[in-house]
Amino acid sequence: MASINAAVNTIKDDALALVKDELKSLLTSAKDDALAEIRETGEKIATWLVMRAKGELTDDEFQSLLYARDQLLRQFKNSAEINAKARIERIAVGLVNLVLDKIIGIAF
Amino acid sequence: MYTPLPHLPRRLCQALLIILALTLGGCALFTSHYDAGAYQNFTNLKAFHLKVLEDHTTQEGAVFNEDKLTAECDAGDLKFREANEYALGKGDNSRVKALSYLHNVFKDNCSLAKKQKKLFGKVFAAELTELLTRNYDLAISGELSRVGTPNTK
Repeated sequence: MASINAAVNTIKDDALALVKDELKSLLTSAKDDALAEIRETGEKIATWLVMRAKGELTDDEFQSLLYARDQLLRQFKNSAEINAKARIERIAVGLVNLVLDKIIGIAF
Repeated sequence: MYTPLPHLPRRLCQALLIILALTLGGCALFTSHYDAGAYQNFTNLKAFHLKVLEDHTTQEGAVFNEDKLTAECDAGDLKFREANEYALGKGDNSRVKALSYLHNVFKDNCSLAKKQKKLFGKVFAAELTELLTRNYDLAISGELSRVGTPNTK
């Protein structure tokens, strides 16, 4: 993984000083986040910025990777919601059925 | 016999539990159950998308072929549309969204390849393959986490 400073320093345009500060702050926050998806996103973006600066990625390729990462994160959120709802249904309905059937004595 | 709420009459307890069960049963409306057809669509699309990417990556003997690219992009678009129609028919928006996050990337990849008019570089293809694989795996695990998946209760 590229270091945060190396990634931020790939931006040479002085007019983007504020953007550089914000980028550094976000990459630092991502690095320490408890969620693996957020940590990985920070690591990947830092790596791609350095690859772009070295000419290993074109601007179009870099943009395409960022878009693919955005869609992956949306997929992660959607899958987590499906998982949470299914878990509630599985456990809560299971509990009610158990109480009705085995404790109260009504088959439902 | 044990009564969960001793201060309430037994009949009232039973009625409350039945109402609770019916309410929780309504939770099924929030997320549809596992569907083998949807699972198959996700896995088929994953194989197809990764194969298209592989075919359009720089390697020995490979040359850029715009006609082949256009044909594969059209074929992929049709596959996604078919899967989307199937998902819409199941009436669960979370499955439709999962497909759109994959279809959007497929369309973006096709646009980039057509714009560049050359095969994808190895570095880019390796990074993209990793992202794509994870995106599809998340969609597949989402389907497998639904109630009614084979081998689970």
